[in-house]
Amino acid sequence: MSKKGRRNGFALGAAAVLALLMPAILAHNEYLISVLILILLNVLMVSSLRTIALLREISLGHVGFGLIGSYGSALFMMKGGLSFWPALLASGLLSAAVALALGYPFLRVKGIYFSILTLLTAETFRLVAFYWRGLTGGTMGLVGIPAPGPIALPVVGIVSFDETGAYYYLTLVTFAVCMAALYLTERSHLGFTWRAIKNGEEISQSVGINVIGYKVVNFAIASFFAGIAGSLFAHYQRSLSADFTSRFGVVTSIYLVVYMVVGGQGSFLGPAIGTIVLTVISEWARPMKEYQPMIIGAIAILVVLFMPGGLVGLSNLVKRKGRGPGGARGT
Amino acid sequence: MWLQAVVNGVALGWLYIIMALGLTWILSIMGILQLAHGEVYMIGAYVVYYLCSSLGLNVYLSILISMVVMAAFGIFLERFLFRARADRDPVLTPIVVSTGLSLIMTSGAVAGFGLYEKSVPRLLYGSIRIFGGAVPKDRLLAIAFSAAALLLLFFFLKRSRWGQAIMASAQNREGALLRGINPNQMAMISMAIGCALAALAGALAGSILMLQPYMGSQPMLKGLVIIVLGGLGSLAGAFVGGMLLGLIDGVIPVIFGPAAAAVAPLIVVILILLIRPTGMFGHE
Repeated sequence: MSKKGRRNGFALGAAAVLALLMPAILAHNEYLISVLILILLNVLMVSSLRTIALLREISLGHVGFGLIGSYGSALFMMKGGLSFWPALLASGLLSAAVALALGYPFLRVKGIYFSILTLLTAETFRLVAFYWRGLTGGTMGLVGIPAPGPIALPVVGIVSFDETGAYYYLTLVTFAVCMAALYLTERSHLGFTWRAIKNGEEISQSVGINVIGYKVVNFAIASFFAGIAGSLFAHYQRSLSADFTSRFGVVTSIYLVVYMVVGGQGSFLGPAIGTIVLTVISEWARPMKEYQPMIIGAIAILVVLFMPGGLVGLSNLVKRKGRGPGGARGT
Repeated sequence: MWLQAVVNGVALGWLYIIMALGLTWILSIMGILQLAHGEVYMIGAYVVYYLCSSLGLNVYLSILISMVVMAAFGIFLERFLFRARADRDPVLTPIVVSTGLSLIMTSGAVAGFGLYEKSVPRLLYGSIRIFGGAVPKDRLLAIAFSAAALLLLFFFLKRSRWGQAIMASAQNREGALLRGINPNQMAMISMAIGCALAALAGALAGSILMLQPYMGSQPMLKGLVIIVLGGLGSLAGAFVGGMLLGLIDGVIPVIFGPAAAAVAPLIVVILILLIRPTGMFGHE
């Protein structure tokens, strides 16, 4: 194992131990652990958003696929009679299927058009959920979503997931599996093909790469993980609403893009760093009530204008300075 | 009943067209998605409100002042926030900057103006009877104002040298540069016009609907639908797209219910994109 590989392995191990101990560090404070769960779900959302950004396409409607996962999973359990784990998987697949269906018309257009389309799509999904009374509870919202059923573990005994601490661990495990899958996808042949398409669409096409096909698959994979995050959100909240001010509003998708860019979309860790830093800042700014979005907005503008690589770029810059010329160059 | 619904629909449709016009010009000339356009609309409406209620100015004069103020604001935004630079991502940077701006402006409005709904004085009182139905005069006036703004913009673009330069810059940036047209100047002008149009739409909406800090998101989204329907950078496209959207918004909920009305624009957009990826009137 190379020196860098060993260092990364060590950092990963430390992060895992920290994540496992987090509830104890936070003194099992219910509220803080719920923030932690939300951070994990958002990191998963932003990381899958970054998968689309590997093609240099910006989705402004990623939360729409989270919505499909949320409602899908809740309804699979409530009306379809599935138990939690099959429902989780099915909701991801449902999201991916919708993305597959929409991918062809959407990805024929590029750049800003794609962003606008995804934004409108998410808003459309939200409005459908908001008005389709028979299926989603409509304006009243969907209530009484079951928590995942209890499971029996060898050492700890029976764990039931209707309390926050246990749900955190369930989220953490699912999160870790998804992140590993995303990482491996990015390093796979598929991921390299995406990069090739990003760097030269026409030349990729000319060497026989099915550009649209690869783009649609990319969109579907990203939406799968958005669906999983949505499902985890639904069974944690136990009720869903598709109100304009709810999680499924346009604002959330836009926040996800901000998290990604502030963290630095060039690196796999960027989304995690951006999400954690901005969530911590906005929790800290919570007492400032109406000024809270203003602080996030100002940070977003300053970072994007003056730190083109995001916060990750900043750490690389420090490293490079420390090591002199020839050091690792990020992004 | 029906007539009034139609006039209401058309009046709102025109406001959305005015929003779409600003968005589409900013998009085609500067190549940026100005996600804070709805907030410019909102601030434009509040400026009119405060000029009318605090300073007691005439509504029409207030609308004019608000348009000038927001145009100046647009120039400021172009110069200091949106101007392209080589080290910045041309698509992503403006999206994040305008998002940040939208958060700042909305939360500034909540802090400064409060969440209570306010309203701008009506442009005109009373109604006209047409075909046996009562049509409020102010809606008709809003339609007339919007149509006048569209016509003015049309003649500005087709007849004046500045307008021609903007058109050229939108169609082919490099070509325009070779002819000595300064793209930054064009960006500034289009941003100023776009923001002034948003302020006009906001002021007109403020006299028909209510003012509140979140009022900008709905017309912003409608404006985006119109742009995609009509095609980028096309005046005719914005007009036809707006009318089409107005039709969808007016007719579908009555016949098929609100859920269908929510999906209808997306389905139309997808159908149009399948046939013509550049929108109805768009060019490459």
